[in-house]
Formats: sequence, C-alpha cells, structure tokens
Amino acid sequence: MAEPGALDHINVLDLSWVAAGPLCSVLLAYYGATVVKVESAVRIDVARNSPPMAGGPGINKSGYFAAMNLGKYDVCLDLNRPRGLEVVHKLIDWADVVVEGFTPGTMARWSLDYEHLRARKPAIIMLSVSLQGQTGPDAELRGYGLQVQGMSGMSSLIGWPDGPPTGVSLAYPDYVVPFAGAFAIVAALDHRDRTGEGQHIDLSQMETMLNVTGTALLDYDVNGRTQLRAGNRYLGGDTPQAAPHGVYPTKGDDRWIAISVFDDAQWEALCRVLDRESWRTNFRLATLDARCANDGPLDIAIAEATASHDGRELMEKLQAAGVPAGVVLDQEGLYADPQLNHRGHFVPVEHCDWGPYQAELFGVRMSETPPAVQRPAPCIAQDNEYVLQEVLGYSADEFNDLVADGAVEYYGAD
Amino acid sequence: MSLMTDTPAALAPYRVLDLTGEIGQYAGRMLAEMGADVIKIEPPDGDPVRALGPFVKDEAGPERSLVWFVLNASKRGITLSLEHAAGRELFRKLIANADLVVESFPAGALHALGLDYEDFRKDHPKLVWASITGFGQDGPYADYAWSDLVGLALGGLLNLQGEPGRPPTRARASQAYYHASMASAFGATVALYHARRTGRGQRIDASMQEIVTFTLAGPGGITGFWPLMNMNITRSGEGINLGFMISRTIYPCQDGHVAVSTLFGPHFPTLIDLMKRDDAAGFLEEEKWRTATRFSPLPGQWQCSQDEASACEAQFAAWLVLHTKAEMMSMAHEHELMIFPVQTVPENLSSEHLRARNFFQKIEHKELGATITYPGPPVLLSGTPWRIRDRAPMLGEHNADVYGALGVSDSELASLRAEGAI
Repeated sequence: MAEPGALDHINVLDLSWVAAGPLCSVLLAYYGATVVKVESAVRIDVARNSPPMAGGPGINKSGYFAAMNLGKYDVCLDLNRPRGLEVVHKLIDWADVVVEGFTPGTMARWSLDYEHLRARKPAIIMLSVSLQGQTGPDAELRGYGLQVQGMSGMSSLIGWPDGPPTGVSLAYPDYVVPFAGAFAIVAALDHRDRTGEGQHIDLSQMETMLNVTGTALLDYDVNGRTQLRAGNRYLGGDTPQAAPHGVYPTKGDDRWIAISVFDDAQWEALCRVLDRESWRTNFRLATLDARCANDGPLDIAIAEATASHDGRELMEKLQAAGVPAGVVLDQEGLYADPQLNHRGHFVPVEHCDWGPYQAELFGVRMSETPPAVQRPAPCIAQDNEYVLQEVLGYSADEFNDLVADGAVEYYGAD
Repeated sequence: MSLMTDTPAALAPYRVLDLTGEIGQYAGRMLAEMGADVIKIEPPDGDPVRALGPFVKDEAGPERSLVWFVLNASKRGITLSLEHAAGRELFRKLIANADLVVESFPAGALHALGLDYEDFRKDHPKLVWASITGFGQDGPYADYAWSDLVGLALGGLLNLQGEPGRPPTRARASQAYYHASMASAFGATVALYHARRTGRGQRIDASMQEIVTFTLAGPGGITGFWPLMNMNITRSGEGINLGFMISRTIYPCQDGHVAVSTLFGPHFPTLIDLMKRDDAAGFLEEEKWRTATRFSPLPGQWQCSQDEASACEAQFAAWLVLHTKAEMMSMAHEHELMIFPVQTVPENLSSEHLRARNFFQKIEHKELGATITYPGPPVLLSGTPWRIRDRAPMLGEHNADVYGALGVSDSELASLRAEGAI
C-alpha cells in the first residue's frame, strides 16, 4: 500500500514492550523499516491490558497496544526454551537493528546482551531503552515513565504556582524519548553503512528528559534559581516575557483557548477582536513591560472577555488578525480538526480483531519518501508462520516442531 | 562520557545550515552533537532567541541568554541577511556546500524572497530541505501564527496538563518546540541517509501540531479513547485518567512529593507490610487487600472499585507523610517499590546515580570567565559518542572562517558588513 520508504531495506527486531521501546520502532516503520515484534504469549505485554479498549477486555482489544505497535509484524516466542532462543538468533542474523527495553541485566541472562550480539554480528545496532540507563547504582530500579516524569523534574515544571506538581496526565517520557532513540538509530545506520561498524545505544529516559527541561539546570548553576511550575507564564527568569500568555475559557463545558501575545501589534489586534478598544489606551496595559507587570489582573480580564465567545470562531478571528491563538483540542476535537485532516493525519486501516479504524500518520512529511502506515497493528502471534517460514526460511515441518516444542507460542495454548 | 575529540561521529560527513527560530533550534543542536557541522545563520542584528531570558546573572544581553545557550550549543555561527541581495548570493554559495537546510520561516516567506527549494535542487539534487512550522506548508492553518502554548493546545497535549477545574497549564520549558525539533532531527537524518544512498534529496514538511499528537501516547494511545470508547480523557492534576479509572500518581511526603505509577502493582503487598511496620496500614491490614487490583484481575486477584481504590490511596497518602524522599528511595531499592521522588534541579545535581554515569558536563564560556553545567547526552552511543562540542556561538563568531572558506576576502567581508549583508 505504501510508496517506497527511505528505510525499506532495514530490518528491526523489536524485543521491547510497554511503550518507549516499541515507539522507537514505530517511528522506523513509518519510513519503511520492516519491524518484527517478539513477545511472550504467557507473560503478556502490559500494553495489551491498557485502555482504550475496543469493545471490552481481550488480548487483541487494546487501542493502546495498537498505538505502540503500529506497522509491525508479531511473533510469540518462549525465550526460556533453547529452540526459542535459536529462533531469536536467526532473527538477529536477519536484523540490522535490535530494540530492547528490559530491566538492565535481563538480556544477559539469555546471552542476548550487546557483547554477545556483537560477537555474532559486528554490524548490529542495538538500542537499549531503560528508565535510568544501563549502568549506575539506580540502573536496576523498576518502574514506568510516570516516575521518570517526577524524577527528571518535569512534573515540578507543570502546574500552578499555588498548587502541587502535576506533570502531564500520562506517562509522558515514554512518548518523548522515542524521538531521540529513533534519531540515534538512523545516525548509527549511516555510520554503519560507511564503516561496517555497529554499536550499542544506551537510552536513559531520565537523561533524555533532563535535556528537555529547557534552562532549568543552567539557571540553577549560574543564577541559583530553582525553576518551578508557573502556570502558563512564558518566563525569562522571574519575569514574564509575553502577556497575555495563557489559556482562557470559551463557550461550553471545559472549553479553552490558548493565546500568546508577544508584541504591541498582536496586543492591539487582540483588543480589536475582543472589542476592548479602551484597553489600548490604558496606561497599565499600553506597553509589553506594563502588561507583563500586570499579567495577573490582565488574565482575569481576558478570561471575562473570552468566556462568551465560541472558541473556534475566536481562534479564527484572532489568527486572521495575526495573534497566535489555538483552541485546546480534546480527542474528539483532534479527529475533527481541519488542519490534521487536510494533512491526511488519520489513515483508515483494518484491524485484525476490531475491523476498520483510523491509524495515525507521523507529522514529519517527506516529498520523496513520505512516512506511511505500512500495516495495521498486529494481533498476538498473527505472523508466527509468515515470519518463521517466509522470512527466516523454516520449513512447515520445522515450524510445526517449534510449535509443538513450545518455542513458538500461541495465546491460550498450553 | 569523554570529551575526547578523536572519537568518530555518526553524522560527521554532513554540513547543515540552520535558519530556524525557537521552534526548531534544538534540532540543529542534536545534529551537531551527533557530529554534523551545523552553521547557525542569524540576521545581522542577532537571532530573536538571544533576547529570551533567563540570562547569566539575570543581566540581559545578546551573549547572555541561557535559552540561546541550550538550543545552540555545538553549532558554528554566522550572520547573513536574506533581505539583502548580496546576502542571498552568499546563501546560494553556502547551499552549494551543504547537505541539509533546516528553516522555520512562515510558509511562503522564502518564496517571496526568491529562495525556493525546487530551484536549489536543480543544481544540487542531493540537498535535503527541512521546513519546521507550526502547522505545515499548506492547509487551513498554513498561515497561522504559532507559539509553544498554541502548539500544545492544537496538538491535544495541553488538555492533559494541569488541574481539573482550572485552565490547562504548559510546562515551564517549551515542550512542543522540543517535540518539533526532536522529530525533525530524526526525519532530517532519515532523509540525509536516503540522499547518501540514492543521490536524491527531498523536502521535509514538519508540523509542530501534528508532531505533538504523537506525544499523546503514540499514534492513537489517547486519541483512540474517542472512537473506541466514546470518551475524552482530560487532565487529572496529581493523577492519570484512564477513562474507566482515575489513579493518583503524585503524593506529598514529609519533604516534598513522590511519583507512583499505580499503588496496585506487584509491589502492593510489600507496601502494605511496610505500612503495617509503622502501624499505619489501617483497613489495609485485612487480608483481602493483598490481592486487590484496579485492572482486569489475573487469577487470584479481584478488581476493586474506584471508591475502594481512592480509599486505599488515602490510606497510603497518610502513611507517606511519615517518610522522606530519601527514605522512599531506599525502600524502592530494597523492596522493588515503584515509587520515586519528584525532584528538582539541585536534587538531581547531587544524584549519585547521575554522577556515576558522568552525566553532567561543564562547558567553558571563556568570555564569561565561567564554566556552566549542562545536561549531558540524551542518549549514549558506544561507537560514535554524542558530544557537546562547544558553547553556542557568539554573534558572527565564525563569519571569517565560513565566508573565508567560500573565497570571500577580508576586504569583501568588510564591505558586506558595511552594506548590512552580514
């Protein structure tokens, strides 16, 4: 279905589970990589039990799992059986890239750590995704992205000054670090093609997140300032640099519009659109400095002025007047958004269990090798036969033996 | 991680011209620290990011912006006016020796200056051109003005940030700009790789709004709640909202806060024992709670209701205030509790773990007579280490180097400067 992708020739063995690791290979799949996800049919990927669910519980019902594994093939193996490991070794021979996300040290128990992989295949590129990296005293602490959000300081940067740290209401680091992981993999592929050398990539979610906390670390080091949550202010140090800069109510229940005013022209346009011409001559609001100094009362006044407007109409008027503004979209709003639809963000595909659904495309488009949804997310074990026989070259008899042995698994079988 | 300069770098063969604003500058830094020669091109009066605080010692100045430092480290820097005919001529020469251009002008702005990718590509078919904008090159929002806040709003993430009943809140660090930059650095590297293999460059059209949607639990992890469950998930303050359940994840302890993914993980029975030790388990002493879960019950478990779960959370919260973050961290080590402290910068700076990994790096800022501590690599690569090469460039710092390499003489440089072209 897809046009040729830039990574069409790249094979990825994905041994990772839950979210951060799997999304690294989703990103590679968008550009054409063939990704085989290996999972256990007994020790079930936590993602398979995570909502949203398509019509009740069930091993293939999770929309969350479908998001984490869009575009992949799915094989179930028992790595604790010698013949299961043998199949993994064949997949390593087939692969350019191996992605794993076990607690550090786990891969070594199967002799699948990087040193073993490299001995088998020097050009292999291995990405290990973990909470806090492969080494160090906290390396083996178990947990999820939610805890990294707290530890990295991200939670402390989100919320109201008079309220608790909140963070994003999801395991946010899991969904940001894949950008860094996929970037490192492609850079390593380029290096491999030029030199024949593979390498091991150690992605600590904690360390990636510390890189997206802006100036927090430098500000503490040079100014002694501990940056904490500040509502929606756009602060430089302790000083607002834009005002109004906030999120304001519009007509309806829990409907909001984000508005950022950086200069006088945008301010004047805002006053015009909100029909508050008198604000323009108010000395407390006339200059950016004055607005920043009075941004608290200004936020209250703006909120009063926006509350009677329809959010989308107000956004369109403000944007037409040159003011950065956007409605806060919920999930329903995303599906209806004209710009996302213009870009073909939602791609209809057929799920093996729940039928037609809208998969989603990646926002970095390319003119010659566009990202594409290669295939819908897989059902559990759906590609056992295809991958072992067509990709790895096992005969039908050998395949049946592996199933009988328990090396190749099916869900619900004993 | 060493600062040795003799290690190979994965993107060493590539030269990048970086004409981005705040939305895209971290992309160039990632490419530079992976080894590319990234030349940041600024207008002669300086990039607007230089005016953003915080500043060194809180004194404003174009060479004192910490935002400029974190977004532009490891790049070289030149000045160039694209408004100026002589400037555009220099730009064309620079492109002839570049592999990638990254820019974030509003859609159509470069076309108005007669600078079109399609023209450049005729003479330079391998050239990759990445445009990072708020919403993309065409469509109903193509001309919309953007900010980080607006990108978060229209990308759907802002709806999940902050306290219920109050307006959603952004992070005090521009997350949508980071998303746009990181995703574009990835995409640009895919395109560079493709260009080297096939000789064919291409145009990249990155949309901040669309990229932000990926951070809603990937392609469909959150958006899917609408079509699959007819539900909209919103922010829940100190918790996560999974539609059928709200689970508290951030709790106060004696000296701050801790983060928990869920009470009802494999650690729950151990937690109850620890609470008993302090005589603080309350109703949780009852045997049945040891096998409670909030999720679909596995054999031997039972599923408790939202009210029961909230009661458990309250009991846990009452125990937690007896303990400090450090105590919780050592319990996490000893008992495999999935409970970690919520940290701020000074705590992370003294983290033994990060120190053992040599994470923090001191970068010299000679002009300030200081070294400044930066976060180290976001990823460690064994063969081609990520490397912070240098502090961000000063205004026009590499004009002589870069224009000299194009064959522009010192006297020509002087007159270009006088005309305002550089």
